[in-house]
Amino acid sequence: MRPRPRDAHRRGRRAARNRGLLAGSSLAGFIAALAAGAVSASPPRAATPSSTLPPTTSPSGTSTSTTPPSSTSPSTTAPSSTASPSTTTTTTTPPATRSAVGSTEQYGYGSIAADVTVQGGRIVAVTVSSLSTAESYSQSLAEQAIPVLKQEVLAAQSTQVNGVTGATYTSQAYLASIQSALDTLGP
Amino acid sequence: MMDGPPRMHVHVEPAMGTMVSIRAEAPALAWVDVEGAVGDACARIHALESDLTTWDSQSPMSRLRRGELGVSDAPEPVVRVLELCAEVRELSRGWFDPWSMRGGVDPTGLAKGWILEEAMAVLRTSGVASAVVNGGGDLCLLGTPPDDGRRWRVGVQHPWRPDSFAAVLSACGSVATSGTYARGLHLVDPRTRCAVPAAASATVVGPNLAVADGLATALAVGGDEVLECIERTCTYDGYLIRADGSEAATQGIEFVPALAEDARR
Repeated sequence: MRPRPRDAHRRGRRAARNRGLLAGSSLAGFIAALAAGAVSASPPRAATPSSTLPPTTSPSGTSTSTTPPSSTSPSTTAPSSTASPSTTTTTTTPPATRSAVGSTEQYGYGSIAADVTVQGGRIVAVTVSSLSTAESYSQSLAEQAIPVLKQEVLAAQSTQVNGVTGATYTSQAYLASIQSALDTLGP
Repeated sequence: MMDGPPRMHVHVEPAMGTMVSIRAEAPALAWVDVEGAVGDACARIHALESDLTTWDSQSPMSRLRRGELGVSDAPEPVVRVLELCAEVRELSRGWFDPWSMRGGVDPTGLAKGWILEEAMAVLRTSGVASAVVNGGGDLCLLGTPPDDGRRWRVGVQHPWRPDSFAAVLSACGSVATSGTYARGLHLVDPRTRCAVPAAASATVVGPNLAVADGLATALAVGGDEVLECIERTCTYDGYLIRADGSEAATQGIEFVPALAEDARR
């Protein structure tokens, strides 16, 4: 493991202009894709939840825009789409693992499709089977958002946990701060 | 719109160099009011971030670090965060020390937690009954879980197996985790300014996320010594996974053993 490249914050400056573009819209699309995938599950096949995205432990830098998230309208998060696990309920015993690719959903700056694996009525894995964005920094933001969305979806329908704590999406600023200290120390 | 299952409002906001997710439930409020509360909470995050960021060279915090701005002239958020930093430095016996950072005082290890607490305060005063605000793996918890549990169940991400939990904790208030597994770095001992082999994962549970955030940073660097400091606070608890994979926790940590294996995914 090596320190992440430190150019991520440059993307973050530009991405800040689009603050919130993912927030409501892609979530709705993502969850809609989830729901579509869950209810139209294809015949059982071996679950191979493979990650189709690179690891996203490199968040963009702290943005400095002072404008409020005006375009961040959560209204697109339709009530019906807030991860209703009941639609995924199956009666298979023992629980079989099934997976399906959801419909491709537009979210304003691109499109996304989710691959969902269910087992015994629970979503056990979510991957993104396709993601396209108009511009590279949208891609960068989307790649950061997806693991968070995935976690939210799993947590929202989980009877096991209400949230996950960890150091995965660490503050880039803090990382850079530590890195600068290390830089002065040498190898 | 009062029929049907309780509706959870879910929102993800890019902020503070990470993703902040907000899940809020307020059966007594109209949907539009929950949306409004979440929007207000996000606006609060961005406003505070603009004061406290060290990425913008013209932010009040950056100017203070360069000595261009005195503490007495600094905006209230800067003053408050520095007070909390001093408090956690005391609690951790110097293991969390933003004043030892090169380039001037750097409260980043605590500021995110404080900002998330402030965002939660917006939700609370707006009438939201139950919420999780998760800023890159640091959680602020309001009320009780939407299912009938009395305490929140929080999975602690496994330091070496990304899709697994190391443990599931029963918690209320806040939970912060610091560790090096996500970035493969070593942390810096503020006393010697030398890189130290830090803990694999350091989790702190307690009433205030700002303090928990700072203590988790200290625990990641100071290990067992800081775990003793945390035990002495009586209000915070710590769960440490050492670099060699062995574990330790304060008395008050509540594991949910039966779930740990089942909840792994």
